[in-house]
Amino acid sequence: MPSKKRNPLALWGGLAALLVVISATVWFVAKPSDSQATPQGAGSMADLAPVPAEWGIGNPNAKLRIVEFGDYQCGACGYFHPIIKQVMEEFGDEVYFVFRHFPLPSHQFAKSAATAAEAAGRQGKFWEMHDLIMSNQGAWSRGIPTTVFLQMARQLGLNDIQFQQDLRNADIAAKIDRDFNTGRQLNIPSVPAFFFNGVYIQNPADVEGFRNLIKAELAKL
Amino acid sequence: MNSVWRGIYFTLALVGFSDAVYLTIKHFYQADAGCLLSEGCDAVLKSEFSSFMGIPLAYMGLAYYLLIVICITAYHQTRKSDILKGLFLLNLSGFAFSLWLVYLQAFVLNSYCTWCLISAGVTTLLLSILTFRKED
Repeated sequence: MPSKKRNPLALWGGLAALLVVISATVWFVAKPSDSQATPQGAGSMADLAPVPAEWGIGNPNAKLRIVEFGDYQCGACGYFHPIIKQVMEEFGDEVYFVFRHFPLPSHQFAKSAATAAEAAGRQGKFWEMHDLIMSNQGAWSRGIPTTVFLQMARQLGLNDIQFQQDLRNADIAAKIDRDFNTGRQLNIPSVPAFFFNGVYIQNPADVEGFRNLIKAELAKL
Repeated sequence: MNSVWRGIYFTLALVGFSDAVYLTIKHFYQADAGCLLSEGCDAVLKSEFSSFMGIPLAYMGLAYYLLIVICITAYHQTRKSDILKGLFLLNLSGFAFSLWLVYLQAFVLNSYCTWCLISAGVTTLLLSILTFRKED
């Protein structure tokens, strides 16, 4: 193959074109279809109405009520955790954010994590525990989670014995099951799933996207 | 490096590039996909190791293969052996990084991501070609 006298423009132009064609083809194949993440029986307000002892942050009387169905062992939920914290710092007066449990059956420790958060909630530290569990997914999801949860409880100054008793509390288990069943009724395809005033939304890519969704929703109210 | 090996190298680099584009798109839509009720999570791509110093590895992979494709094309055009030396260093660092990622998958995450393994394989082959190359 003669290499001299080659037109550099043709060479580099051809390369650029080739890379664009490859990228476009891969994008076309890999891009998720729109229908993939939409629950068929879209959620109604009634299903997501406030329930006793639900965990919320922000302004309870806010016009915008965001409900997340989340799983502590799900990396995507961990990804959204700092995003939620960020937007709630910004919109805490105008938004009420509620967390509901949706521990996927495929996640071995998701339910124990939800139980640990609820048990901490019995001692008034739900959100503190929620933060610790979400921010340290790697620390407990591959080891012996109960030990780690107990350490976290101590770190938060919770009563050890009470905490351990609550880990076996039937009411807590029932509450988590109830949240999960609500999610099933709403046909949640994946976690985290967010509902804005009862309407399922496609997950935004980042904090900026989340912020824009909230702004758009608030503008409508 | 003769034209046959150059062609093989270039083709392999394109395979690596396609793979990196695929992973980048996956990464871009990761928030959308979430953890599926039916299939669970992609444990590797959603792990805390899917980015390095805040930069998603998929993007780094894309830049890496893009640079390789550009370098081999530049070499094809100019035949400057300095380009091959630079390419070798680039490949070597990519290979070392791939080794680390395969280690993480095997011993830390205990699960594998096919597309990441393909990238590691491609990088190994690219490095082998450069290591055992014969000058024209």
